[in-house]
Amino acid sequence: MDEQPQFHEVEARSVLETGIVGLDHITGGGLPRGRVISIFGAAGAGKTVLGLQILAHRVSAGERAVFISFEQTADSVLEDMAGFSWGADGFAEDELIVLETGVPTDLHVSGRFDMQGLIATLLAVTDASGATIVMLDGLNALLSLLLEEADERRELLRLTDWVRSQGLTVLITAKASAENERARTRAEILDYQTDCVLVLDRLQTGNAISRTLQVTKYRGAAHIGHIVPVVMTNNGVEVVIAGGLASETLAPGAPASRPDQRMPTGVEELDPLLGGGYLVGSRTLLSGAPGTSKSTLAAAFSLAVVQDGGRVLYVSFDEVRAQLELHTASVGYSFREPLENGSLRILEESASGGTPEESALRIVRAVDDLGANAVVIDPVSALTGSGHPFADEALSYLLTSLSQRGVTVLLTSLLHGAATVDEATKSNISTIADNWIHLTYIANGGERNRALTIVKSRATAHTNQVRELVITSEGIELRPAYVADGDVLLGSARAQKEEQDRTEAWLRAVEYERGEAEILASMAELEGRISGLGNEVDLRRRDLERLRTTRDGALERTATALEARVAARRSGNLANDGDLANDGEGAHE
Amino acid sequence: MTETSTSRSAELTLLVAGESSASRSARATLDALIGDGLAEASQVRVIDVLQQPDFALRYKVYFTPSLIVETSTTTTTIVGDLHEVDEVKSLLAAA
Repeated sequence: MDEQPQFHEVEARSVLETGIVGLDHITGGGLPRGRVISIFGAAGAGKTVLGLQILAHRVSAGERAVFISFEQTADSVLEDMAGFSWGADGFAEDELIVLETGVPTDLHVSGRFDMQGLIATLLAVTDASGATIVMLDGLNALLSLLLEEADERRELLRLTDWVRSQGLTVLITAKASAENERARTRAEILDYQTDCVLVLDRLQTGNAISRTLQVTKYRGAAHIGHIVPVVMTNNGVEVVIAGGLASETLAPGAPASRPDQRMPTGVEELDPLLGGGYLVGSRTLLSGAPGTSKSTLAAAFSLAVVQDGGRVLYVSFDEVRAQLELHTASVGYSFREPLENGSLRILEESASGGTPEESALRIVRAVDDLGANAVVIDPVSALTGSGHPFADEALSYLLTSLSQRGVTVLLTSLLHGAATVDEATKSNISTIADNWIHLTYIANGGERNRALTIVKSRATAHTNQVRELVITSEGIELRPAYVADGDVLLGSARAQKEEQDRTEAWLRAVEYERGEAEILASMAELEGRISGLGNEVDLRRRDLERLRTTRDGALERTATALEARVAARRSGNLANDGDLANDGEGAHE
Repeated sequence: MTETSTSRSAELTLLVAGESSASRSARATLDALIGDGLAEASQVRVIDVLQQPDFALRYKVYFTPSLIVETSTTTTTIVGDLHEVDEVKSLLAAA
């Protein structure tokens, strides 16, 4: 059977690491040693860079490598290499040999020919240098000079057979999107005759272009054959796939070594609800509609970490740095000092300017630059909801990279309305987060109040009860929500209910007070009336006395006058009457 | 003839790879050129690049056979089995 010899190859398979973690992962450990590997791609897809990067890594691992360009001068190759972190310091001439081969312009052809001169060249250069890996860049320029398609097929077969017989590892770059029939056939021949095929491509989504890599063939070995995202940075080609990271050993200080250490949430009342804070190295999702103060909570967390002596990278997709600073400062969270002393850094990312995989790499790099032990991604939905084909891969890569570093992660996410839980589940955000805190507005009695619920908190006893989140000028406070008849009451509804209950108790107290007061008042009234009546009695007594006094005076005067007339009569005369009259007349005198 | 004098002053190096039919054809043509007096035997050498690969590297020859025609000022390469002697003569004349 055909498969039989291939099966033996698996067992004897020797691989060489490319130094590109993600590529080593999808190829099951590296490229096949002693074999021919094709790198396909359109112009500008990064074929040459990928090849050079692999060569550079092999050289750094102690091997010697040869780079033969059929398109570029040696100087321009070296110049290109110097632009990358792995090529900036250059290489010793006998470690990485760069040959320029410019196909001669004054080449005359007479009759049939073969490509054994190339084999002789490879023989000469590898013998002299002891090189074990060779890259042939732009071989198609050479192949296209061959007269017929059949010649190409024959010469490629000769080359690959020879390479395998020598135990050399050879990388051949070739254009995949062939402009003509001959080039298409060449690609097919290469694809067929080489042992491993890598395809670099580009995928456009809106304005953003994702670079991709696919291992379309790996003879005799299992490999991951799906298209993976690639980012070109000054580190060269980076394959953005989380799988490659998982196998690496955890960095010292990773969460595994400190299983119970907590980080403050920045909200005093929230810490106990999460068992003392966010678990170091955990991921927390803060979901909620716009304006539910996700960023404010994130700011509170950032400042708490900084105050504990940590370093925080705040990745802001929505707001530019100045806006964010202003916004958080207005609610009592000022970034000014930590920004100035370098313990906090704001990384402004644009959701529209690039691809999620590029953002993911930039974030990881910024974390490394800063030595951050906490990261806020505000909002992570800028990555996941971007509609880019590799959003999930980028997020997974990012979170795995951060976990590896033991970094505590706070992700905010814009989720709306009733679809919240569905959306979160669909986008897998909920499954990648250890804690999930959901913020909502609860409309009640013409008011919108912020409410905080802990939907999930992995490995922590936590409360599911809704809290009211109140933003004061001093920051965030959580208040227990008022639960009545199974409803959660917040804001004035809560206040109202509380007031109502208070009033009832008060009324009961007032009731007693009122009874007592009434009695006291009536007693006082009665006493008042008593004292008023007393006064009246006095008055009457005085009236009486006055009356009596007046009456006694009048009686005395009458009695005196009578006594005087009685005395005058007794002294004599009838004239007493006249006297009496005279007396009356005399009174006129 | 001016053409022949140009050729005579040139150094000819034929790079072949092993004993292929193309190698034999190219050698035969070279012998014919010498026989016709168009090249001097002392100015002609034949190299098997599989035996002496440094020559392939030095001349940047990837195709075999290759005839390198070197004058004091120019280097011309004629690639192929050179089985059309007349064609080679005119190429040498142009070189």
